[in-house]
Amino acid sequence: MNNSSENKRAKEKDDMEKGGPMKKFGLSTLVLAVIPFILLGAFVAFLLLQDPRNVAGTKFPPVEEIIFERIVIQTESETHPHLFLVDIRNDGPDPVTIAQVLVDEAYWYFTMTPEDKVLGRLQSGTIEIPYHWTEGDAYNITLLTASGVTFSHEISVAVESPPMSVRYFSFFALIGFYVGIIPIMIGLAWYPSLRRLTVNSWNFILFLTVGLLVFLGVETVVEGLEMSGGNMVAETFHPAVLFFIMLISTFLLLQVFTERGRISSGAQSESRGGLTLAYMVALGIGLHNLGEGLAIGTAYNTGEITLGATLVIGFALHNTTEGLAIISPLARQSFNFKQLIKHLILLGVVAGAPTIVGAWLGGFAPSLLWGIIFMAIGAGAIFQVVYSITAQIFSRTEHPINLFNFTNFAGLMLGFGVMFGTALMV
Amino acid sequence: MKAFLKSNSQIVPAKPCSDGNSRRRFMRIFGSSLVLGVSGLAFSNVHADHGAASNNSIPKKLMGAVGHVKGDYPENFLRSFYNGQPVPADALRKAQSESWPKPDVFYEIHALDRDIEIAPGVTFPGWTFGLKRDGDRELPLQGNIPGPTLRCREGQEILIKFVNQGSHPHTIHFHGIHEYEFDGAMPEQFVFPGQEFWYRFKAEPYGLHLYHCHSSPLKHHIHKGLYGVFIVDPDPRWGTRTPAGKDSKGRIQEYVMMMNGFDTNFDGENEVYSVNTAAFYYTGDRAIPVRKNELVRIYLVNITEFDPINSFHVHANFFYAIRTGTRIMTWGDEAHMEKNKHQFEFTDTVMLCQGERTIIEMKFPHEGMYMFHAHQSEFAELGWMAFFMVEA
Repeated sequence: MNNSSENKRAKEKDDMEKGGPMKKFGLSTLVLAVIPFILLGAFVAFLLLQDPRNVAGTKFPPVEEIIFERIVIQTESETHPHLFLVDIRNDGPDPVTIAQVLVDEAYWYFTMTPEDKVLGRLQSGTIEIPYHWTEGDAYNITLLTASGVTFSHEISVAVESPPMSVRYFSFFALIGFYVGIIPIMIGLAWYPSLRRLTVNSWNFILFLTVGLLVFLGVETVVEGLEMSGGNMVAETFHPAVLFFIMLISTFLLLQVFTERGRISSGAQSESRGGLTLAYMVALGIGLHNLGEGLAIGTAYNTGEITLGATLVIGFALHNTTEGLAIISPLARQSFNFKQLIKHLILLGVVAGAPTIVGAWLGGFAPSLLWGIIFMAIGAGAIFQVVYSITAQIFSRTEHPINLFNFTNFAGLMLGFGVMFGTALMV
Repeated sequence: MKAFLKSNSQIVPAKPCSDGNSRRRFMRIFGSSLVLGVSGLAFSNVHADHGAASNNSIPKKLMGAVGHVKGDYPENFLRSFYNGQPVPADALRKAQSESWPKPDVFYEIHALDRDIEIAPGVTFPGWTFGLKRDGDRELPLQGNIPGPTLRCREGQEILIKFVNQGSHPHTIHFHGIHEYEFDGAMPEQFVFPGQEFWYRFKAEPYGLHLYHCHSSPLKHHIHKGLYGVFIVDPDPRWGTRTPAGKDSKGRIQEYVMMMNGFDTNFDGENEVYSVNTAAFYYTGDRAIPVRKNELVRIYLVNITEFDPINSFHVHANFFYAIRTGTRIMTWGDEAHMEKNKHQFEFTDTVMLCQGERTIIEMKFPHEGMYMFHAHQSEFAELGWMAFFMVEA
């Protein structure tokens, strides 16, 4: 009796490990699974026919919610006068009709797509306002809906939105090159000196890298959440939730890849693992830099920053430390010169080039929602790299408790400090 | 970069920038629009003329609302004066039973809830006054904003049957001289939904007055639209006003203009300003046609809520302002007018406090389109902007 039940339990356990005993997924199972969907459909149909609001017996006023997603400011050309192009989205449950547009408390001529000026739930539209704006001035754009509700957006500094031209394309590429690729390449030049380090000083550098990355990761989270909290992305998209979901899934996905890579490369040399880790760091930083480029481009687009030399210098110093973070896993490895140069350039491009792509995206078609998604991916990647580096340090050490010493602590703190200090310049 | 991340979009009241800077700015823009002249403001024909022909880089025809208010209430309101209806039997009985004098003029006024289009495409859930009959004519009895202009002669016995068909307690509070009982202002004088009340008084003094609901909260009851103009013409013993001229369609050039505003999002500030409710109504082909050198008389009343004052300014001309209409001005030869100038204000801009009113008398010596509007440019650009079309 006792024995048989134990056997049974063992079998169940076995089944569960193998994926359960229900191996037959027949038609009947499918039908049974569909039943709740049918019931749900019927219930929804009932609700549509019998609006629960009717029970209250009163007519509820419509809930209107409009968000401003993007403002494009154009100067006069042969095809158009000075313009404000305003992208809006209905973020409320009910349709909204845009009846009038005010610029600085004055009714103003406008055209709108869709032409009927009605936006359904989550529908977006574009309002074109010919307006002879003055560079550097602030403008308030207010939309008056058919029911008299107002929605306002403040253009804090009016500057021309960069038009899609070779000039601006190269301008953003140059900015991305200056703040992304060059500083990281310079940081990579620490490689020869890193090679000469003892194990202890290498650990110091690795902890410093962890410090740098944690700062970057936290900064990315804060920026992503700030973007989510703004009024320029529809609440309906749950931007903050989306941010965390993307962050966690990026972390886990990269973790899966890292583990797979380690298993497939088997017990190959530590050097292989170091190179993989370096590329992971470069990828994480690259995604962070994509977000950074996006932010720079968008800020330029909306006239919130002028990309002066000081700002570029600030970004450059900040990002040079990222180069150090990338190569620190490689310190114990030997490559031949040709290979080394190849890898260093490739690492620099992986980490730096996304800045250019980000600047283009942000400069020409800024979308806060995409910004949030990139920030989340960046943060997830950075934290995964932090995890990988830490795991690597611990796995290499016989007595991990020995890692808790002042040298390593100082490395970590120096990492934070360097990032903090260089961030002050931005 | 950080600054970018803090989104600056926010739901703010429609009048978010009230600092001196922004005011100055749109004064400037307004000014430059004016430079374009009337052609730049042909509201009836609003389309963005990106015309390369104009060497001024400001595109023409930009200002003002897009589209038109449906219906023609402001057009009718402008020249509609109601002198009452035959006194019905129940009113006579009421007067007899209360031992009131026999009424000379009788009105039946209803308070009604009604959505009103106050700017093209923008509806406002209004509270309105509506008149049941005009003379022998049955009216559709739908309230409107402003309510009907009541006009009688000094000394006439007025009797009003007020029926509250609205959703809140209302009153009709008349400006003029009357007994406490008919003042329609105290809580015990509120007329509740479904109830009725009789107002009785002798029309005095002569002048340009108004009536409005004086229920609480007063601010709310007024800005929702419960107001109208009450004109008491002088007893002929004191003289008569010079008859106004006639326009090309033979209509007398006497106009009622009530300066009002609407707070559409209930933030305590007006999103729409206008004269006779609909923003930018008398523009384009709805400009008010008048004949050159023919007397124009405007009964101008300010009921604008939330702002301490409103104003009236006419372009390219001057006018006589007869404050509260409590004096009689007569038009005559040059010497006579010179004497008048010292008795009446001769100006092109008047400022009126809420509830204040003035009769404006003027003649246009030149043909063309002439703007008139609040000289607070803010109000003008928010809808209180109109035109006279002066014809030969």
